[in-house]
Amino acid sequence: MKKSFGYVKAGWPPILAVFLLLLLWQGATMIFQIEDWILPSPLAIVQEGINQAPQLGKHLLATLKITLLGFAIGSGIGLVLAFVLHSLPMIRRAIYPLLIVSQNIPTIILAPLLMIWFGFGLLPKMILITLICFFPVTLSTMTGLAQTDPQMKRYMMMIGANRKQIFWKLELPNSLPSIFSGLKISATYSVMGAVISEWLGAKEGLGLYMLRAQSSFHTDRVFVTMFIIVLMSFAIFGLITFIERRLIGWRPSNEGREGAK
Amino acid sequence: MNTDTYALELQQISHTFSDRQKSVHVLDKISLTVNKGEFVSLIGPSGSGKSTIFHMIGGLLTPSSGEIYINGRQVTGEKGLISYMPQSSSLFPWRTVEENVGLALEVEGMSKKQTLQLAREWLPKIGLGGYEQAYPHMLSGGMQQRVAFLRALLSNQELICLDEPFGALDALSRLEMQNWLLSVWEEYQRSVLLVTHSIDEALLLSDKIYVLSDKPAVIAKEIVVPLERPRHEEMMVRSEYLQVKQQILSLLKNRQT
Repeated sequence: MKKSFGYVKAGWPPILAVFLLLLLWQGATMIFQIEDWILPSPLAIVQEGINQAPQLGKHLLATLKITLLGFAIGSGIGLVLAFVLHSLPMIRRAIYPLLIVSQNIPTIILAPLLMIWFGFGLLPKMILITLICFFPVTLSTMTGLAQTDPQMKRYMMMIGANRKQIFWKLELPNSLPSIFSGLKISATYSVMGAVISEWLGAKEGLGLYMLRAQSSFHTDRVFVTMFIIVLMSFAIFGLITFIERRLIGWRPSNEGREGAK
Repeated sequence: MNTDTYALELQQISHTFSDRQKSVHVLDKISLTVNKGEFVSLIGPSGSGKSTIFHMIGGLLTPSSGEIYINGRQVTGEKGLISYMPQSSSLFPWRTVEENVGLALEVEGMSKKQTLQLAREWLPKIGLGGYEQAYPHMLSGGMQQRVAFLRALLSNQELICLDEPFGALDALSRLEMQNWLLSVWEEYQRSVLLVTHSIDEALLLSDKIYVLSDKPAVIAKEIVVPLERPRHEEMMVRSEYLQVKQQILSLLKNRQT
């Protein structure tokens, strides 16, 4: 009772703000007679969204598929990489600068190269999303692993725990909150990565749909895609938050809970 | 001398910490013994190398010279032979009380199911029945230390090392916990080595006390506590108690100046 009331209380300011913004937008397009191909009104976008629903379903599914697949591969590689770098300090020192460099190459430059090397199939898309996704997971996981309480670690060593036990019983559970913040960032990145990879060559998908809409000046459809992409990001984010809460039930306060939408 | 009778024996342990600039001689020919089922305290000024001695017994540190025997076997530098309770309870916040109690046993290789069963059996015995599923942050400092002690007690190792277990508690809970530890220990007599800087704590609990001097630490005196068991708080005003207390106090004072 009290909790749901709390959600309503916390939820109304952003909802009101969005509502007012939409109202302003609708009003502006009507008053200033803005052409639909420059800025369609929210109502026109909703109308177009309903009309396009049958075709959109197919594209949405295609994008969702490569997003989830890419996210799973990317964050999986990110996690394993973090575990390896954590246990091998020498390699960490050697590779870490390279990792940072890899993040400074803009995706939009990298994508055409991947298409040249790997064609237009699933592989270059997976590579692209992985390259975007792994870094936040690796970084936050490494931070989490490094923040293990030294006293707890000394305790484990005193009772004769080996490296494996220290990792699985102490370091990994201790870094779960960090790992999840990395996963949340990667999840949103993965949606973006999926759409960009579709721009560069795809048979279906929201990226492709958006590109077609843009080239035919169907601005309303561009907006429809945009909203779908945002909703998809939210949904994945929410799913991860849900899993996080299930897994980290022990936390004393409500900290980190306001991320849920 | 038959070393088999000792749960723990340190022989002539010396240690020097050194880096490029300087070296610090912290321990000098420390020898001590803990009999099976004996409660022994190590008392000394802070920074006198008590923790260093513990890290050596735990195998985290190898002494510059000297040897460590556990149950008569030379184990210098070997890990996993003691049970341990640190000053900070070091309970894992993501584990429930019963899971925390089972941790040491898990590390020793027992299945999680068995450790939980043991924990559930034992928690009521130390006054924590009903807290099995609670998380450590829901418990008071004293209760957390009880959990940490049970974790050490259930471990299959003969020797329990207590590293200033009540150092972080307020005076009142500390006294309460000392009495509690006394009753639990007198019931389940295990070999204990306690490091403390409270003279009263050492006197109330131990059979034997080693007084350490300051840098480099040597054993200034070995004192057999002249009190019978079972012990209780009222003994703390007896004349022989006060005499020994006076003796330890002057030892600690002399060495510090």
